[in-house]
Amino acid sequence: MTDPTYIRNFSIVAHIDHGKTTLSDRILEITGALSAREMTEQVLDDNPIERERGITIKARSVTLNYRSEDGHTYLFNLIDTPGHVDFTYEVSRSLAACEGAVLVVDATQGVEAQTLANAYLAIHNDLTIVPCINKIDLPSAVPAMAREQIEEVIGIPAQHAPLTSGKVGTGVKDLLEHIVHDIPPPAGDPGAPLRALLFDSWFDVYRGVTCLVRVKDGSIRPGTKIRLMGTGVAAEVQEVGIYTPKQQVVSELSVGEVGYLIAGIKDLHATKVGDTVTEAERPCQEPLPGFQDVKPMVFASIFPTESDEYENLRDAMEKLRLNDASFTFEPESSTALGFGFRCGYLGLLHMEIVQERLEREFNLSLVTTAPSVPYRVKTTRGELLEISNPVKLPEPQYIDEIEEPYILATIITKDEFLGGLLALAEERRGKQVSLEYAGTQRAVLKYEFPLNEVVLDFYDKLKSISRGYASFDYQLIGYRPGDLVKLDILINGDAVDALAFIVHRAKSATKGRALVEKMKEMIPQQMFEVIIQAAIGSKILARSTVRALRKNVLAKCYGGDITRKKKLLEKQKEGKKRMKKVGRVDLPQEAFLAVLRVDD
Amino acid sequence: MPPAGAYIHVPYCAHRCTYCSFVALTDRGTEEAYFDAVEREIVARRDEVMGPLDTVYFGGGTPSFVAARRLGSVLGHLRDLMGVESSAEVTVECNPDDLSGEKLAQLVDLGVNRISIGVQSLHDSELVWLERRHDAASARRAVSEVVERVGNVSADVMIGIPGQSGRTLAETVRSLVDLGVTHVSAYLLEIEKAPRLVKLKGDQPELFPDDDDAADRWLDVDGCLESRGLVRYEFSNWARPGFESRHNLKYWLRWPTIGFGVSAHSFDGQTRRANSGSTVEYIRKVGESGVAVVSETMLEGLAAEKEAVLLGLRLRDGVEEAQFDALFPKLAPSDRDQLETAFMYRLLERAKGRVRLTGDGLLVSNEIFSALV
Repeated sequence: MTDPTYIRNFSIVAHIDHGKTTLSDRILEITGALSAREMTEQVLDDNPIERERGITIKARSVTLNYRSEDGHTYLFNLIDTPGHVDFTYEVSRSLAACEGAVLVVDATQGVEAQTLANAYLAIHNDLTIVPCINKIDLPSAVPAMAREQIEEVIGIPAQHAPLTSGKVGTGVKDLLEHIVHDIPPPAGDPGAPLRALLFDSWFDVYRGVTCLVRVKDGSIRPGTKIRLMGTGVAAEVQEVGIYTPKQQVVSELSVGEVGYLIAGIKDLHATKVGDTVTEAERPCQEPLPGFQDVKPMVFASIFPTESDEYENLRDAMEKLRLNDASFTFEPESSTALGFGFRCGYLGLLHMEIVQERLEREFNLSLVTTAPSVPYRVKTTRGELLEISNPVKLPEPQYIDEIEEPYILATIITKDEFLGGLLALAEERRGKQVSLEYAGTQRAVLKYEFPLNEVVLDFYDKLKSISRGYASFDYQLIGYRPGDLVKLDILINGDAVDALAFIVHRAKSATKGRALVEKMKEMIPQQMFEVIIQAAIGSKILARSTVRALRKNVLAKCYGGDITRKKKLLEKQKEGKKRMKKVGRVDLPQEAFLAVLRVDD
Repeated sequence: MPPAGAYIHVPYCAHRCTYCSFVALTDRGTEEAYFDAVEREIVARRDEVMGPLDTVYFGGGTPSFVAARRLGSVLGHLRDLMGVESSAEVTVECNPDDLSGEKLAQLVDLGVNRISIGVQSLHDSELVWLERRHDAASARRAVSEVVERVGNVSADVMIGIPGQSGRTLAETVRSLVDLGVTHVSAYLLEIEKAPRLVKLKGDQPELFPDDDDAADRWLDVDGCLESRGLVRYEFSNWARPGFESRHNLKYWLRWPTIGFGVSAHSFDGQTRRANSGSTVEYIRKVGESGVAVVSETMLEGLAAEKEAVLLGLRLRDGVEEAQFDALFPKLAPSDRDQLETAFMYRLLERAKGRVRLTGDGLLVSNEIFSALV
């Protein structure tokens, strides 16, 4: 075992695009984990979709050797964290595996919403924060501004924060020395029963589930019979090891160490992030704090465009679920769209990623419905229902009360955009908690919002109002009652279940009007008139009409070239195939997401 | 097997009109070799369909642009090798400018008994956009003369010319009927392959009818012709009873037709064949083997049944109910659904033992036909 005095466990946290991944790579290079030649850029992000979007979804850990200026060699465990608001819980568990966190702030941007949210998470987990001002190679860098904001907004001293450039390598050595000196070594009892934090897990078909763990007490080696205290799953450890970043088998993981374990577990859902690993026969007294069973907070339905693709869709989803424990789905049958699935996601980004992977990696053509949040409904008969699909909302006369999930949102913006953002917050039923200035021209807004006002297009709106400047982060704060109604969309008189959504009563008429107008633009003319209505129960709030197609004929065929005419018809038919027939009406895929495109 | 018809493509033109999507050449350098090739092709394929032919159709290009003796020689080959009935309908597509008294007399002498004139419009401001050689006055003169000399005369009319209004279109159609044409073909201007018109539409979209306007124009033409006794027997063709184009009907009825020349299409009742679309390649291939077929599609079973109904529905009388009902259960559910919808909205109707498109249905016929491909 390594003497814990010479172990440093830390994460690097940052707002998106503040240079976290580049800085991590530079650390890998300097510690000799990878030679410059072996470096491909951004080695910690290995999923192409993550790379493309510049975000990191799965946590990874890497064990590095660093020879400090004090003459000792330190074992660094760098734990990478997911970089998006949807994965707050996973981030917090990764942080719980560390004693310290490097908080990267872009010297050209300053403190952003995710910087703040990550700093709070680190503080909440009792971590030592090492601030680091990055991208100082850029001409527009203003390190003094970043330093001032770290002190004012986050409230931690930053006068000695290293100034770094992950891109060119400046200051990275200095940062590593700060890690050695500022972050405390891990504490723990090597003789106590095993207590290890499971902070990431994934599945592959050859080895089953691999778990990343941080040993708090005791040790773990092949042959150890373990039990996961949260799920109760028992297994025998087959292999333990570390990533350097190459996978390397070791004989044991001991107090303060971070590494992987493989124990013949086949189901990813048995290894929940945040669970405590202990010995089956000599369990620890108390599990580690903070374990939660994360529940999806955004729901949307997915249907195959062609009904015979249903089985393929299910296979694809099952494959994805093997490696994404937070993605849930259950079969759903829609009158309008046939057989599909109601899917649960951690958040909007998570939803987009899953949908994109299904279409891209599995080559499926899908119709997805607008996202919704889970509501709690108390019926007049005293039942408590959790409703994650608007279709299942009981009729108004049977509802005693509806509660909806709320979030606490942090928005950081230049003050010139404040007016627009306050108006947006107002319109989204936001309740202001605080409004503070940090330095000059920079405002930190805290608002409580109903989650359903945020899942639709809040983030896009925020970005467009602030011309991309404002940053946003949120956490769930619980359920509150709301005056909510189900808005039905009727196509030629029939309510289309997949188009129903839940909205605040005060906004229902405006929303309904905007939506039917939007759908009118999206639905192509058909052989007959298409009437689109928005209604609450039997009360029609808005109506628009797509006129019947008057003309769809091809010019005369000459010289018997029937084949050409048929080809044109086939092409036209191909285009229609991408649409979904609801009753007799062909609806394009985007019509099911019209509610996302409505300009309020 | 019903009697067969022959189509002969004559690709030469004095001018390449911007909107034309057919094989048309202004360079006549290949003309001699081309007509030799057409005659060789006739020799090689003489047994492909059963003679004697009861229709012959010279299309283009501009068949009237070449010397009448060339057409005469081709006709001679057809008569000698395949047989042409004495009562056969023999049509030549003509440009109004080519119909000097002499040319017309020569054509009549060859046995041509039906002339199809590419009038397009009787308004000079509209003809300019189409880059036609003729003006309205010469078109009127040509039509009158042909009416007098030949009797069986068709005029092509175009809907959707830049600047055309419902009024100018109706004037064109009325004048043609007054001049005595017995047949009118109307079709929509397609600008996709005419860059100058695409640009014009970008600059001055108001000069072009939108889809609904175009539909209204078609209805205007229909109303105008029907009230003057020309019956719409097929989607884009109107005729005085007895003057329907027997040759064109063969296409919709799936009767055998044999096409000679560049880009010509043939159908023997089962297989569709297309000749090369390049004049040079056509001449070379015929030189090598006597034929220039570049694609062949054999249709059997359901595909053939679907095509028969699709084509039949273009005709005023549609298809026999029995034929339609035999096909219907074999279609995919979504296609059946589409057709049922069409009946529900009275776009398709059953009448006197037949299934046919209604007036509204004609306008959206592609929506209905897409259930049949």
